[in-house]
Amino acid sequence: MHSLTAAAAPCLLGVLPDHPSLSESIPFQLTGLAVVFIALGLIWVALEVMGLYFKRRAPAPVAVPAPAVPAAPAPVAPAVPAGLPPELVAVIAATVQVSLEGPYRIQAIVPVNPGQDWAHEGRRQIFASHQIR
Amino acid sequence: MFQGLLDFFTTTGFALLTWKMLVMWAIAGVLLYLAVAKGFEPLLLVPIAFGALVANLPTRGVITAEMQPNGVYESATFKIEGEVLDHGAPAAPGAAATQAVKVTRVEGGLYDFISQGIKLELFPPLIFLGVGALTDFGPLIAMPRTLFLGAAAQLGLFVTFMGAGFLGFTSKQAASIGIIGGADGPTAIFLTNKLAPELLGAVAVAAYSYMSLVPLIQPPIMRLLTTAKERRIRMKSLRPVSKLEKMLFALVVMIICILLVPDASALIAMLMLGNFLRECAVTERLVKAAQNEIINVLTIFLGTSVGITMAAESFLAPETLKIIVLGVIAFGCSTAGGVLVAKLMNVMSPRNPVNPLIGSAGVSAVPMAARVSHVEGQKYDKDNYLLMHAMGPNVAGVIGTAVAAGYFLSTLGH
Repeated sequence: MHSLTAAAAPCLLGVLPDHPSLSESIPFQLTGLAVVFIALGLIWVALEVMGLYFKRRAPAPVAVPAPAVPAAPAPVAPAVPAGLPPELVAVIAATVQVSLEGPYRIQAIVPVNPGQDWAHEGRRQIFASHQIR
Repeated sequence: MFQGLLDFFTTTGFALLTWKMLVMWAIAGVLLYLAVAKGFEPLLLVPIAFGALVANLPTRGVITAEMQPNGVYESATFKIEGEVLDHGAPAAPGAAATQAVKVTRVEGGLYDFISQGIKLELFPPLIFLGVGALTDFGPLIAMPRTLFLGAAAQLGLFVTFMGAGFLGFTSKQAASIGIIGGADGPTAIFLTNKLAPELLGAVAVAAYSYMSLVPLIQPPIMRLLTTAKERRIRMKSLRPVSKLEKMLFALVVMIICILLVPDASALIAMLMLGNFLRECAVTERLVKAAQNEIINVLTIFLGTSVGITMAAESFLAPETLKIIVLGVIAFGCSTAGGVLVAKLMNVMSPRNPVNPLIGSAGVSAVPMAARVSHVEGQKYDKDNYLLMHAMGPNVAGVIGTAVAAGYFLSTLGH
């Protein structure tokens, strides 16, 4: 095991005095900022290189076959807002069929408040990301 | 009997109260009010405020603290008594002489021992283990150029370093004050404990207070530095990031950062250990422990240990007020640095612009700073969803602040 002890560690820029002058302080700050940019820049380069491989490896979007018949057809027609095309209702029903396990019943299809759903989805992703499974 | 009562009174805590303690009670009360009634970072401010109250009561068996003859207020020390054993082997010529000691008694208060978690630098890296287990670096991996926004948002650290020097602070104290601009509590505590432990209470309170005030401090600076057209910039969707890519990210970041700034090893290694545990998805029990029990228990001990450093003798000093002012300057400069570099990136890459509002999220306050970017963006275009884009610079800021702390430790800590 190798560890860099305090005695062995190199001291950058020599020893900065307790009360440095402006000519000592500015190079110290610029070097510090440069170190941060170099560290994160190296990570950027590494991520771009990794990304080249993973972007190529990413699977093409797979067309999901449309379900033949809903598992448990709703005995009562769901409450659907007027003007909603039947194709859209079919897509929503198919999505529910694919996503949920077990029998289901669509009772209503209600439009969400426009402009809020993506923000909610972003928040949901952040909070859901706290659970790995 | 009256004399007996008077004698008894001298043994109670009332006889030891001072007006400075009462002032600190009021400060602790304000912190508790902000945490409980206003909801400002309650998970940290409540333990800190409670610790501050305990520190300013005439307690016994809680903490040992006294003003040293050299003017340094020393706390959390304990006494070890022992017997020197003289049957050790004689030291070889040239080797340092050692003597075996048999410890017979250890004496100290509760927080003399718990505070060793800060003094020995245990709590901040262990909290980073939990932070790593809670953080999704996916948005950063999908858009790695936002790493530069996280780097730019460290500008305030270095600007404030100079400002603190002008106000009479030493280099080590100035670095500890500057790190407030990174908006990363554990890193601020880690660095301050090593460089300027006498400022720990003031720096920690300033750092956590400003982190909770992100929604108030950042928007005016963001609006000042951007045009209405820039605030409406829509960014491309982020690509999906695979599990393998996230695991590799944790390893690569750890290796690069430790090679470049070995002094940040403890923070970076624990952050990335927590993240790797999370992303590998085969250590579910460990991740749950890191995300919940470990970080929660440590937050209680860290908060109260920081609060208990706020004894009136050390906290009620002009330096504390200076630190509060310098802290907000550091925070403002960091916010401005992120926004300005985002604008610079747009000049250099006009075909794939970033919304400069996400630059302010380069400070490490996760995810509050990202949420502020999103909310500001929606004020100008309600269909513009910046939240996930802003998470990139936000988590980059955590790494950037740890690297900056490593730089200060490399140059000033030895």
